[in-house]
Amino acid sequence: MPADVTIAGPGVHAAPVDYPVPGAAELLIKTLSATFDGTNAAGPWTPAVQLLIGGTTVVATFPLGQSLVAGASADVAWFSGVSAGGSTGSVQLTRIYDTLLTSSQANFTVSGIAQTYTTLLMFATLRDDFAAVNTNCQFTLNGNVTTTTYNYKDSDGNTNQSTTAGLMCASTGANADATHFGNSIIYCHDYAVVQADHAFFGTTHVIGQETNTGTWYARTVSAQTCTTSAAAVTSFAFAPDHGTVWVAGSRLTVYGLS
Amino acid sequence: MAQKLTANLPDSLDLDEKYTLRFTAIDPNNGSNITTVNISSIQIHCDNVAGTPIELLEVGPFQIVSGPSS
Repeated sequence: MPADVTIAGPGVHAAPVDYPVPGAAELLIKTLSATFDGTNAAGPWTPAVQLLIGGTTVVATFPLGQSLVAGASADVAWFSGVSAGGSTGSVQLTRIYDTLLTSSQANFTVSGIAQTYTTLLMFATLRDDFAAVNTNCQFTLNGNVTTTTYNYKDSDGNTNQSTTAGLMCASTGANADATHFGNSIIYCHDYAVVQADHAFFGTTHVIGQETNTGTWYARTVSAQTCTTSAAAVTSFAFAPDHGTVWVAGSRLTVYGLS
Repeated sequence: MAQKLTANLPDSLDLDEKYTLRFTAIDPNNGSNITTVNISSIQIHCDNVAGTPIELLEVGPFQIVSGPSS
């Protein structure tokens, strides 16, 4: 009866780490496991096990069913019967971007988006420096700030076609009470598919008191921006539509859903 | 804290000396190795089908984990 054996690898080693099956040996793999530390990774990365022939030619790759963000760490176990998406039957939600401003900033830019999710899901808490109670958020994709490939419409009646930026959601402005921010949820399904008309949908709720008059206001607005560029989405940016900067306390969090 | 994640392996993955088993981190966009990711606590749990003396399964820094079945 073949003996059950566990072989342990070296302490800490930069990827990749290779175990060449020794001469005359034959191993029937049951499980594999390792700890991955992405502290020094510059962008998204995926833990994987590979088989090589002749020590150099990769003939098979068994990746984790999701990418991890730079800085993440994971204990990964490989065994048969697990769905490609990771834990059997589960939905994977991976945070790929999260920035809370401690000082003013011209925009939120999310780049290097892994193409392995099905949907991008975003939550935004926004306030800009424009002299109004509430205002809008401008949206561009893949660094396209000069191509007239954006069409948008919102529930307040703002609409435009073939522009250089879309409208995505709303925010409070400088005249709103200091503690009030616009809160938005935004999504885009199939962002990684090469297709015409990638559409981003957003809904914003803004409620608060105007500093100058003490008047209470409330606004709920939904917006859709789509682009006629068929390229998969690898980056996007949020900027104030009328103001110049997002102020401290504004935050954008982005998740990949798979 | 490291996330606990699972991934799929095919059934009956039977490897002989032609093969090298590689643990790595790859770029999700182009598949290249990302050498800035560190890997530790590697464990290969397997059946020694050919009955090779276990000391011969120790290759380079890879060592057998002692136990009742080793």
